[in-house]
Amino acid sequence: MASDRDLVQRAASGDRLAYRDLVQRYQTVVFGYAFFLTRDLDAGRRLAREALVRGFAEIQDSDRPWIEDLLQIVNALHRQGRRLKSSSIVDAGPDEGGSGPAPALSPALLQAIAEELHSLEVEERTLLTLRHGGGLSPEEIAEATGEPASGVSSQIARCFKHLRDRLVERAREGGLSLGV
Amino acid sequence: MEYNAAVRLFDRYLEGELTEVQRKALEEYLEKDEACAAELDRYRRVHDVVHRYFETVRPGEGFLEDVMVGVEEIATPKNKRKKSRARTVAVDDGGGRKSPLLWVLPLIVVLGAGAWFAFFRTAPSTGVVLFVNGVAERGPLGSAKPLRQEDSLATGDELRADRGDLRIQLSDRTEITVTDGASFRVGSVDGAGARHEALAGTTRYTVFDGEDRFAVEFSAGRARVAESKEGEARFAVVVPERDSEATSVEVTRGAVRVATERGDQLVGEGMKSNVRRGAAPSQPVPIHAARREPRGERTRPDRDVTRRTSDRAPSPPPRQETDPTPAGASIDETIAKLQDPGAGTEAHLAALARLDARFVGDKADAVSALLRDIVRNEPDDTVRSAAFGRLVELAPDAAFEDAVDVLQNDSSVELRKKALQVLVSRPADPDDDPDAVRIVLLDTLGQSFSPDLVSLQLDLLREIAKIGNPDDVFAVLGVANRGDEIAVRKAALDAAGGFKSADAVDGLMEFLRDPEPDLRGAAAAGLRKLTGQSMGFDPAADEALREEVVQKWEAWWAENRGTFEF
Repeated sequence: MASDRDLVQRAASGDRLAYRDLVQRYQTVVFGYAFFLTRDLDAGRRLAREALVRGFAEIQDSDRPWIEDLLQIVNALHRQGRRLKSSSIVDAGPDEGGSGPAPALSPALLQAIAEELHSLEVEERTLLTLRHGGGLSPEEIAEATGEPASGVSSQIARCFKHLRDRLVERAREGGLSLGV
Repeated sequence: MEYNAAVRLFDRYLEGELTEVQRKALEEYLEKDEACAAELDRYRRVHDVVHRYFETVRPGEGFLEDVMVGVEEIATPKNKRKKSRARTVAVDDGGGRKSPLLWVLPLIVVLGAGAWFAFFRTAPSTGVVLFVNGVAERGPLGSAKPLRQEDSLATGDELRADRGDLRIQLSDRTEITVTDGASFRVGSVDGAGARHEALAGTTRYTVFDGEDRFAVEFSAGRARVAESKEGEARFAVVVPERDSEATSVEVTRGAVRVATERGDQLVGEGMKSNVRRGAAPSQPVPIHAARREPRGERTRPDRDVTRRTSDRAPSPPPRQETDPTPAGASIDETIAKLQDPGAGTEAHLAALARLDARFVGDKADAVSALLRDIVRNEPDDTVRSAAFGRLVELAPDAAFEDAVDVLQNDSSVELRKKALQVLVSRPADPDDDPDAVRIVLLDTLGQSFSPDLVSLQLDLLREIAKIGNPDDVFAVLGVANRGDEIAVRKAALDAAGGFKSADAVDGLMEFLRDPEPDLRGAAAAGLRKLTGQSMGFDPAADEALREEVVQKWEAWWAENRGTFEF
């Protein structure tokens, strides 16, 4: 499998197939991140698409992890208000683009988790998205983010603890049955 | 195995990614440690929830193709431009064969204002040619004239280079536009320069060459390549440092090289932003001949870069520690003492004590360079600290950069704290960016801090709060949110209480529910300071009581947030 660096190099010289591979590798991560920001499946999808398209226009061959650049684009677009709407995911209509299987979690729980993930530090949120949204191993995360591999597992453990603390707190407040 | 190590394995364990040996070791440990087993149980539940969440939140099957449709839309005109450019920039490479300049040239363009003080004040130009290696010319194709070293550049000039490097320096607030990958148009960005924008504390220059974009950010006199193009050495920046010196940043095959140059002599270099400087060499050191050495090897006793290339006599034998520099020693003898690694700490401190501006006289540049080298390479922190103090006194104009470098990179906490004080107490200069110090402090606050740097972190928070820019409250609250030492998180909340903004109140209110009583107390104190309200919040009260007060707080703030005056 081509490394991120190889794909970025090729994509930067105009190779759309290489860029397609990058998108395929990171689409869930980018979408998950966009969803954190918009908290809306449709808006998140639009934001992620726009960021990935712009990502091709701006891709540069550099030592920096590409995914970091891309998440910055997502942030920038989100800040610019380029997303069309941001509403509660509970209210979101049917996902025309086929956003995966029907929710395995209740809308209220999905909303709660989205909000708590959103309230995590950006680094933590990114880490969890890469790990469980993108299915990357700690080593792959280390490669993608430029972090030392040794620290990734510790950071993941810390993220889970923070998330759990927040969910427990929320369960106490709102009576949600999170089972955590 | 111990508790924390076991917790670190939980995620891989639940994902089925542990090796057989790791899995058995973990399970054996869990049998022995009930608390850890209980933690795994809690971890598993969150893990399961997060897993199911991400199973739900997926972009869907059509997403990839949808993105690629958008990519195709922008890629098509892009490729057309590329082909067009390849035709227009084709030049004669000397053998009658036409080839795109972009492929032929490892083109290095040096932008910036390094020669501003030395050059711009005496000549009404926008820049100067540093050197030409190969063929370079100015003017429209067909009537171009050769470009030579030291030629002045003016607004509107069109330059081309072939088979080698063209290095130019441009005065400040000048832009260079790469029009076709080979030609450059020099223009002023005074007024409404479309490609120049002043950000907070940062000046951004952007160079376009049709489709590629380079942006270089100047922040507080330092340069950082913000974006770059792959491949060849193509781009560099010079920022003003001193009359006769310029710092350049070059992007070369993905690597960033920073060099400090005087004319065509290299007096120091390093990678990324770690500019390493040496004393001015007594013999010229051609740039291409200089060795690149990593920074921070403080055990290396040789401080004088001229020793790398010159045939100086060997250093005198080490003197006794009790042989400080005599009071009547000349400046040359004092410098020699400082350059003598065997002279000992006492002698070095005595020599440093003599280095006031009057004594140094016209050797100020050489002494400053030597002091920088001591700050970077001397193993003894006492000597380094004294050298840094002297450097700040002798070269106040350059002290900003030196202080930033020490603050962000030095191994000594005390020296870093000293650098922080230098930065925050430096007199305001109308020519300086008023946000320069603030940005450096925020940048530093964003670094990772090991436990031994806690006191520096606290100092940084205090100083950022003193500046009190409302935008900075997020950075401060970010520290309070991080899993750092409680003392640091508490200091961050204390600092947040100094920002008169609704964002500060929002952030502090979140900490009223923090599990740590100290943080709850700090948040309540900050809120009291900002709003004058306490609501009778007691951080030590039982949870139900606290929750009642927090809800009161929230209700009050929801009602007053829009109209509250700080």
